[in-house]
Amino acid sequence: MMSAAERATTAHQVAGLALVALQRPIPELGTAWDRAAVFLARQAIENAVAAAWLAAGSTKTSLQELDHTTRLRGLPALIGDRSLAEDAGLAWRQASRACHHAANRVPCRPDEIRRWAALADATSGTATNGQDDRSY
Amino acid sequence: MPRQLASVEDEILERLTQPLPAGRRQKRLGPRAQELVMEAFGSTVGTPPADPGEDDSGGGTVRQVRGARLRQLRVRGFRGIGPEVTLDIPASARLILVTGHNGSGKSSLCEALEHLLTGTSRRWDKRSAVWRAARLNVHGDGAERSRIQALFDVDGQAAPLTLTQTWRSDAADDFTLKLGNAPCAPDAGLKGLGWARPIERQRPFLTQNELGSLLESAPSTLFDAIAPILGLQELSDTMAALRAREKDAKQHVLEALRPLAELKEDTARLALTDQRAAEALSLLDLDPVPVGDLEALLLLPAENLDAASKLVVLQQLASLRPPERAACLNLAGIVTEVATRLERTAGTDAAAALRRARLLRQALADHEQAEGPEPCPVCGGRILDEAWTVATRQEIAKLDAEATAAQGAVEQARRAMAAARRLDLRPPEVLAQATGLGLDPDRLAASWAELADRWAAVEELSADDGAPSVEKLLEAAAALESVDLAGACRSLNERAQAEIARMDEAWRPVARRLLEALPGWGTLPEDRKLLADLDEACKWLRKAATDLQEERFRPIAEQVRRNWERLRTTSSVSLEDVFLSGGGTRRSVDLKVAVDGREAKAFAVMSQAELNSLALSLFLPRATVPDSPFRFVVIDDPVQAMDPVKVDGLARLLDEVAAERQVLVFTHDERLVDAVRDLVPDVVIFEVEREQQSRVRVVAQRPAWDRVLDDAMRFARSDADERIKLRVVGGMAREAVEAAIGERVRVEWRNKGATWDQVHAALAGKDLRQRLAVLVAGSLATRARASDDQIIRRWDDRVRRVVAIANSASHDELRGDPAGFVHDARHTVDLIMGRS
Repeated sequence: MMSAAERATTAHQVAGLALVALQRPIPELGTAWDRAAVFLARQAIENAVAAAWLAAGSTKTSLQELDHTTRLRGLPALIGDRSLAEDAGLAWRQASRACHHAANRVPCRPDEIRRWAALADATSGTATNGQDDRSY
Repeated sequence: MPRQLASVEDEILERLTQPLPAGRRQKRLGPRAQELVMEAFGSTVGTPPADPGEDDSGGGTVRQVRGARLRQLRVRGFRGIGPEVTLDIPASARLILVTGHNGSGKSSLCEALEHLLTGTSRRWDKRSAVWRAARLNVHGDGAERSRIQALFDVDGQAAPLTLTQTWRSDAADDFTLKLGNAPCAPDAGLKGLGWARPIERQRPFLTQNELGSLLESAPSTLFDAIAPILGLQELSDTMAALRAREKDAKQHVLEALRPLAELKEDTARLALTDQRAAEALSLLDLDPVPVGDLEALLLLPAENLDAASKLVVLQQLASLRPPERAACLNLAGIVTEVATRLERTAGTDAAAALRRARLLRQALADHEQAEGPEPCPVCGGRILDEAWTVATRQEIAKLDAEATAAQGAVEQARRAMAAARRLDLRPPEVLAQATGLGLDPDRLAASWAELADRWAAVEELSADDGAPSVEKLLEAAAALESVDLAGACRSLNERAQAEIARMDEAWRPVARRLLEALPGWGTLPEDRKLLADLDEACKWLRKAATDLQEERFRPIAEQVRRNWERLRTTSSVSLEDVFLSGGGTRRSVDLKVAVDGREAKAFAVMSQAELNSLALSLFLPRATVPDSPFRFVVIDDPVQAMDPVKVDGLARLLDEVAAERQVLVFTHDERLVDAVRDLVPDVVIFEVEREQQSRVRVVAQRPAWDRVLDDAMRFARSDADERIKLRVVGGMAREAVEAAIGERVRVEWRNKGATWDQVHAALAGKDLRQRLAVLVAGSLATRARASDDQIIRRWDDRVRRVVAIANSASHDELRGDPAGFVHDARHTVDLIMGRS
């Protein structure tokens, strides 16, 4: 079992895993591997949003009571950057939609996933003043 | 659904022969007009109607293949499809969704079927050659670069019907069609199946691309696209035939009448100088023209003209002959002979001879009483003896002969004069008219008058009862012999003949034209009667067609309205009625709509989504008419700009249509997939996926949660980076459980009457635990939150573990065995879906 240090727990780390997933595909997993990067990018954003709430003094328990939509709604006030917060919110919705298994959806492009990962990283960095150590 | 349509001929026959039902205002058609209608149908009253199933689209007897349902579609080398791909449809499937993202190849599958049955695609056929030519897939190769094959289940046939289309190049006509294993001409194949006409009239393909363009096209185009489903083409053909016949009849009448005016004019010009023309003109003024009288006038003018007419006079003058010379000479001979006899008997007294003969007979009789010779008793001198007797008898005979000769001559002279009196030697009256005609008959008249005068003199000679004197008779005979009229008469004849010729020269061309026109005028009354009957038949049939169109369109209009009610959902636009109206160039489909109860212009008040819905409402009946041999409908991309509520309505509509026939829907819109899956448990869903080299896969879709868990298990067992694997498996488990909960909530809530919007609102933005709470709560009235206790009470430890981990998977990593976790997630999904 991996140690806590080995595990990716921060938004920055999870966003990094998304980029790894993009760079090192496993062909036999086919489209499932493509969607792995999307899952990771969405998780990175969710972690970044959670980090922002925790940095603002919320507890893990109270945070569990909030759904993701509510958490995103409070993000602009938490990080003080409305534009970044809105971009992160939009990225989360797009990534969530891409996570749903629908055959009739156009697969996400790598540049979209990279942008989501970058937004997660930026949101987390803004919320924690670059510390990104308030992992959830 | 509309009832099976009776044949048009049946319907018309019924209207022709059956008593008019109450309320039908159309008047009874006359017998001849009835015959004309039935003749136009190519039949006669009483003949059984043609088999309505028979396809009369040309070329011999064909079988009618009905009830066709698609079983399999195989395509290779066509548009977006490279290597062969197969769509296998279960026999029991009634509603089939083929889904795939844009460019996956699903539209190529749809178009392939359309191309196989129609030889083209409505999506391409109105575009430029560059678009149309791109049928072949860029990755296709081999001798047969492209092939489309479809298997159909059909009524009354155990083995599927196979249609195969192959072609080697992109040339439009470079393809072959096989029916089973037998090659056939591209159009003959469908004709042979009886599908040639239905594929146009009851087109089983509905694409928004085509329907949208029809809605935006001219009213007549929309009319033409819908009207064929009424099955009245035969009636239209019949009306066209009847109108063509009416036109011919009218043309015939007009052609017969066309020369009349000109002939009247020409005839009138001659009428002043030619009685024939005058008479003809009076006949031409009659309607109808008395052809028999006119023909008689033209062929035998003299017999049909007034005696005083110029032509008759001229003809009399042309044929005028002087008294025959022979007759004159004979008369003269008689007169001469009479004169000779009279001269020979001159000095004899027949009466005296008779008196003396009578006296001698008395003397002879008295002497025969004596006994011998005795003296004459009168004079007493001569002895009356035998010698006297003989001599007396001879004297008596001589005296009798003299008396007879004298009497005969006189009698003969009287008879000759009587004969001469019967000889009319007066100048003919017609001579008096010759002057008025400018023929100068004076010389002839003078000679004739001289003859008459001389004869008058002879008549004077014989006026008394006594015998004319010999000298006078001989003088009269000489006069008769001396007068010769022939020369003057011939001259007049020639002048009259010349005048006749001059008149004929002007008249003959007109007469010839009149004669040529006569046959046409001869049949004019019948032609006019026929024209009137045809007019009556045309009007009747037009009215019958309008009635029939209304009767047949009524249930379709109702169906359109029902479709619209299904699709419009929350739209404020209600479709009050649909009409087929007008005719000819003014034909159109009229839509009566209202916005919140106020009448409005249909197209002006509708949104794009409403227009799309309207188009589908209008054209679904076309593809679903009971007469259609196709028991399948292909609908491509029906969602377009519909909002979720309309998608829900569309799903319901598709479900209804699928109750009657196989419905094959190609769509990229997952909302429709969701809505149909919720509503139609037995829906069959295929996914179309594209890989490299135009390789397209069609796979039957398993539920999303199963597929996600399949992916999760593959991840769990893969050599992926452990950090990635743990996070992704957790995320996928969360996705699968969320999807299963969402499906269960949709089904349960919708069964309770919730709208799609309400379901969507209940689930939107909620994490796994919250969704589970919605499911547990089970109704709108309960707050969508569930305590752990509720979850614990309802499900087991494995579920609780999955929910706990999956719900936190976005924040933390899965700990433990990923594959075991996926097993637990599947167990959870099975419980949620009621499969355990």
